[in-house]
Amino acid sequence: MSTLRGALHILAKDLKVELRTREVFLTMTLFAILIVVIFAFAFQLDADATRAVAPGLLWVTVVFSGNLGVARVMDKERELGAFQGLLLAPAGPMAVFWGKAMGVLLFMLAMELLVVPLALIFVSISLPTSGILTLILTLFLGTLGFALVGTLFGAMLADVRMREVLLPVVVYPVVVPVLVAGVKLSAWAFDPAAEEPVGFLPLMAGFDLLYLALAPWVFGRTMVE
Amino acid sequence: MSASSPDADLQPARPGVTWMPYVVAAALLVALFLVFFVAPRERTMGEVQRIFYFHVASAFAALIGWVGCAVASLAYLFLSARQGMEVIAKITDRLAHALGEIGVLFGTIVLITGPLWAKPVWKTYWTWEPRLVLMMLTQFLFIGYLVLRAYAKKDVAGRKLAAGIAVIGGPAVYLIHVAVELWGGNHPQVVSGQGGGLQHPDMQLTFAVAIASVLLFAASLVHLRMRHHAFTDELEDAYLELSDREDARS
Amino acid sequence: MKPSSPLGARFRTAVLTLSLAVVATLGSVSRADVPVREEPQRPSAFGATEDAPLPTVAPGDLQGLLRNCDAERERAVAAQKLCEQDKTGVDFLGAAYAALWIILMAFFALVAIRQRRLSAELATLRERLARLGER
Repeated sequence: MSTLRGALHILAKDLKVELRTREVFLTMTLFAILIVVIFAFAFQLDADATRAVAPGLLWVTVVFSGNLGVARVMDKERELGAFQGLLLAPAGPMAVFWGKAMGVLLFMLAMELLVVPLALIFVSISLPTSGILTLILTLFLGTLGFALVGTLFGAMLADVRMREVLLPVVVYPVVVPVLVAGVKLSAWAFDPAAEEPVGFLPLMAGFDLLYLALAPWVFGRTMVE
Repeated sequence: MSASSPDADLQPARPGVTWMPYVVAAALLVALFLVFFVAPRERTMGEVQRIFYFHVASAFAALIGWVGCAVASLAYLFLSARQGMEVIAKITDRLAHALGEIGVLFGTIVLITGPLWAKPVWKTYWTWEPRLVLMMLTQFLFIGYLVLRAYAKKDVAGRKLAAGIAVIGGPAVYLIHVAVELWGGNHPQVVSGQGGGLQHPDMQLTFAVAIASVLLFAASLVHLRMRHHAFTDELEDAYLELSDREDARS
Repeated sequence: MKPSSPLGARFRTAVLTLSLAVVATLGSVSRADVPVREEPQRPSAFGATEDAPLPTVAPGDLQGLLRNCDAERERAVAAQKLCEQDKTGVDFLGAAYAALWIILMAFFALVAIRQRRLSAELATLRERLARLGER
């Protein structure tokens, strides 16, 4: 289980750096709040429009700021050429992947913990108590899927010249299933009286499971000479 | 190896089978003749429906190209780590690159002929409908693949990165398909659909010939591109060897 | 590459199999469960080329004659509508096949340009090789 220990070490290192600088969290959270505010202005939200737009707004915020977070996490390793060093560490490349993926997941969840309630207040949509669990589960599963794909592609593209453009171009199409399922399920969370969207929760779970297995494999094959 | 041998190896890429282009051209001409002169006019859409034959055949070619690209990339990632598999690994890498390119080429055709059909029939160029979304997202993904692959050039690490994108993208195509199916839509269900389908035998014949000829065309294009990539690789190898020798002389 | 532990490999295989099972089930279920949205102005099934023949009418069946008469008029209206549709439709048909042609030509032009660049590089290579031989 040295992979797990190595992964936890890398996670602890990232958390320690983050606690001192708060760089990733602040970047992501500020960006996310800005998206919410800009959207609320741009769409001139009234009560009816809110119900239709809120789930989409939530997920756009999650994936956009998630993308930013992934880019920041990888940039920090790349700037000092530390990535190759990490990969050569005795814990092995799998530890790097899991450590980084857990880090991205934690940062994104922390950001959502702050931004989602704020967004709900800003667009003044009410979340019924029966929907809270659905929303939390959906956000967790969706964020997990995004973190897996995002961490993998972010690490793969860390040294590529056009990474700012390429990262979203390849990440967003892949995470569309999560996006579609997330929007449908959170719409149901806001309005539990509506018909339950069938099949989207298994879709999300299947997506997460698939990339839980596939992403580390691809990471090991592509990142190591 | 004598000094003249790289020169002898390097012939400009010629089509391996010289009669192939003629067969492909003839097949495409037959398909076009069938589309415009044999297939009867469709009763609800009128003449516009004739777009369908090449549109759907191109969609087949694009999807086969993309899935093939993902599979070949998977094989490349497997084989590149094995000892003694370098030659096969290189071939799978070139195959994946060529399939990705041809997939994007036919994807472009699908995404342009599709709206031109939708405008007179659905009264709108674009609608957020499952198959359109699937096609466009996959197109984006593989354009990303091609950009990365072109950027990699001779660099093996870069080629592996591109292959990784394709490997992740392959199952994503299926997941996107499931997601947008669940979402619901009303694209004509031509191939697997309930109801509809082509009833007239001339239409069925035209459709079959169009699919066969477009797939043949796509296959020959993949072959062409593979030879091109192989030639590019060899040329770069020869350049490296040449500069080594020039350095050794001086 | 560092060989992954057998436990890790087994875990990964299990997760992969499980996810494939979930996704495959979803794929087979998704089609059956979803009600097709009804939007009548967008034909989603097509392929008919001719109208079914009108029912034959017994002599003296005035009701039947009238029904057939109505049906014929409706068909004439539909045929006229289709002709109207074709007036614009033919343009789009032409545009689509022209676009197909243009895209393919652009692709071939791109391939030809790259091929020419390669040929030029090959010529330079031969030149340098010849010079190397002379010296």
